[in-house]
Amino acid sequence: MSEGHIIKVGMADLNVVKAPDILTTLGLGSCVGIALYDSIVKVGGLAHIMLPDSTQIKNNSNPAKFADTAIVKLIEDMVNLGAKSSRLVAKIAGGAHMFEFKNMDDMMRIGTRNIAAVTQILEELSIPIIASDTGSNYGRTIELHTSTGVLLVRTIGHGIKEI
Amino acid sequence: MGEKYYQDITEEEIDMLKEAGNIASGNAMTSLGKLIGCTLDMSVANVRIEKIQELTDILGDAESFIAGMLINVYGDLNAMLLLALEAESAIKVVNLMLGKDVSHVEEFDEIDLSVLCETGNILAGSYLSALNTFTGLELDVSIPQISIDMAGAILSYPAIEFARNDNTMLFIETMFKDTNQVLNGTYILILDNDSYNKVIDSLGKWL
Repeated sequence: MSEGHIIKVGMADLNVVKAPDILTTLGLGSCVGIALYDSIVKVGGLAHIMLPDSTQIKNNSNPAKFADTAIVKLIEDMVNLGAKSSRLVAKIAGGAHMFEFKNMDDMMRIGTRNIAAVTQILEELSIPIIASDTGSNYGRTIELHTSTGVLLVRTIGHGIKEI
Repeated sequence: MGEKYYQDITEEEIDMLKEAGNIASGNAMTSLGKLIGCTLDMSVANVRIEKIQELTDILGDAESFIAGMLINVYGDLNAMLLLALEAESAIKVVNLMLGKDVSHVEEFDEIDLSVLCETGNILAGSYLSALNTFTGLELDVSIPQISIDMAGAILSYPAIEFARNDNTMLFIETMFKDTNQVLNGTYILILDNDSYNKVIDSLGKWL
């Protein structure tokens, strides 16, 4: 089996590919990486969202920035590549608290709020979250391997795992 | 004066912010040099407006291992100051200041981390007092917080705060190293749009 291309997904960005390509996002902090996968056609999608809710922000022109709009766009793009939304499964990572400022409840919880929003939206869309590596206080780099559906999570000082 | 959007920044304003950045970070670097007993070389300040998608890479690679000391700036401005040291440089700072012989970041104890935070605090004090001198803006700071991790993960925090309403972030950046090439870092002041207007207005009065 040939090694696929590695395609980078930046902050507030998303992309979809077919096997054997690999999607990666580097240095996830409080943002959440959402990996969706259809194992039958081996189509994968990865979004790197920053904020939970596009309706709370005036300038919401970039769908990849928000949990609600990014997931919808990701599914659309995957369906265009041959995936079926009823077959999709999700793996999520990120949502860490990188800094623990006192008296800043809202910001302190942004990682948690991002995870909560992603979880809720996926549930509403009946996409099961089959694995996750979220929270805590460290950064993560993730890779979605579309040949296998494996999500590789790399950290500094907190190990490497496949979920 | 009406609110201006920083995307429409003029060459003249860039020069004003650069000059402010040069003076303020010069003051901060003098403090850092005294703290660690080194002479520091500082780059000319850079005024950058970067797209969110590029933000995780502004300190080099998104996966670079760095120590980030972050301070919220309140009062007349809504800003953040980020002192970013390569992990190796953070170890150097701790060893120089405490006379220790730490060789890995994992060996840092609470005191080492609080010394790094305090370094961030002292630099912020120097930076902002210079900024106050020639803008007259009254500025207050939070307790500094530290994270030693991937640059991208550290930058996600200011990015979420400052690129919340825009798809870009405005910051004034200075890079520095010591003359023996063992210390490498970047100092960044991030401004929101209101703060950009206030700084430009107050600099305009001053010049």
